[in-house]
Amino acid sequence: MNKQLIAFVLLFFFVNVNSQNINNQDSLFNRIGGMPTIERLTTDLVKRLKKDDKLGFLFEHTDEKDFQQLLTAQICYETGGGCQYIGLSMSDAHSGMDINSREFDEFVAIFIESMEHVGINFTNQNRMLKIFAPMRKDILNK
Amino acid sequence: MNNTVVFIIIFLISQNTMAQTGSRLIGTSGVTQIEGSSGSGLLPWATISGYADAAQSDFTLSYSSLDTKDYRFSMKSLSWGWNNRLELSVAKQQLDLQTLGPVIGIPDAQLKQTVIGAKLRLFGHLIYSKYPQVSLGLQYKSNNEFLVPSMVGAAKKQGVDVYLSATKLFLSKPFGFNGFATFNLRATKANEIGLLGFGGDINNDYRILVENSFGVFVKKNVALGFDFRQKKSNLGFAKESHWRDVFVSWLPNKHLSLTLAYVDLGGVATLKNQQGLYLSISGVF
Ligand code: HEM
Repeated sequence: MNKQLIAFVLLFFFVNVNSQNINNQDSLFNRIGGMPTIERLTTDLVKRLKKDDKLGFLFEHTDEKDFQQLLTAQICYETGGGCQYIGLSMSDAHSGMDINSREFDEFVAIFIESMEHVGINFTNQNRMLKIFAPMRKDILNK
Repeated sequence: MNNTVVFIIIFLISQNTMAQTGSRLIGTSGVTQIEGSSGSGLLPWATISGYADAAQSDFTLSYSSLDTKDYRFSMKSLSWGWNNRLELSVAKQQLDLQTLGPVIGIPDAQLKQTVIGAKLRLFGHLIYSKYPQVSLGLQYKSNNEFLVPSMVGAAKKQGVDVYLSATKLFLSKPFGFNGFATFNLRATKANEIGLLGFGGDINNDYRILVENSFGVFVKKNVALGFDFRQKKSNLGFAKESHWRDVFVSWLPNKHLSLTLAYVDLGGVATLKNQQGLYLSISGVF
């Protein structure tokens, strides 16, 4: 039993140290191809969201260009591209929408499809998700 | 009979490929383990079967088989997942004693067991919480062919296993891939997971056993991993070995999963070195 527990703890440790090393290298922004990729990503994402069966209704009155620019700035900022994000905080941006856990996962699935579409590879997709997943608690049921 | 279950799974999938599934992300269903619960090959995870999230539910139908030198194991199961909160399952296991049967004078001897499972997610979310998803599970097991178990000294036909399971997915760790880990504590009296009954001549009390499973998703829908399941002996006639496997699971879509594993059961009921290939198919509807 102790051996198992030690192995478990070592794995957690290994996994955490290893991810820190990666963060010290080139920024995720550069790895995914910088601004051109992010522009294509957000353009594609907004299109998909607008026409999605389950989420489309939320974006009915959304101005595509404004929304796409806000997302671009945010992704650029979060991935280390040095942009400034001047939009609303995540809890303010989604307040009054009462977004639930189902809608959140649908949104993530669409985001992944968009990342695949613009050629972001699997490991960089996961690094993107790692950045945005913790925002869930600020977005749900607001 | 076994082919029937596989046929039904494939038929239902062919009818359902376009149908909607629950909204959870692909892979978060786990696959179906040998007792019919959501998990990996040998052990349950804290996951709830299928893809149902709040106000959703779905069924998972599975068939698994394992061939070792001297034994043939198969399992068919149906489980129901609700709200990403509760899982109810029923599984039928069968173990053909190809080698031992003739030795004990029952040429086509089989061990059979029914497992009724319930699993409740207590707290945490596989992906989104910092801490693991934690679930409490029960497996009520009833041996259907008690003759052989009673011959080797098993005390009871029925037993209940209780387990606490913690499972976590690590986004982008290690090396950008998504790692996963499960750690279980199981209270059980089962002999060879219950196929040889419950309790026996050496021990008749509950024991706490450790189980774990580690691995990575190397693609969105392909997972590699290994399982360890601790075992202890209650019966004097043969010592139980710990069980291990390495597995690869492929989930072409949210309706289908296929698992291939190499399983090492060690010595089982006096026969040493029981290793072999395990195959499992599940359909989610
Ligand atoms: C981590 C995930 C998410 C991120 C990073 C994100 C980011 C953003 C940003 C930057 C804005 C614009 C804020 C502003 O107006 O200043 C926004 C607005 C919005 N988001 Fe999200 N969001 C996320 C998840 C979701 C989900 C899950 C939904 C719904 C299912 C959603 C629906 C909306 C809607 C409807 C708007 C308003 C669009 C409009 O202006 O009409 N978001 N989000």
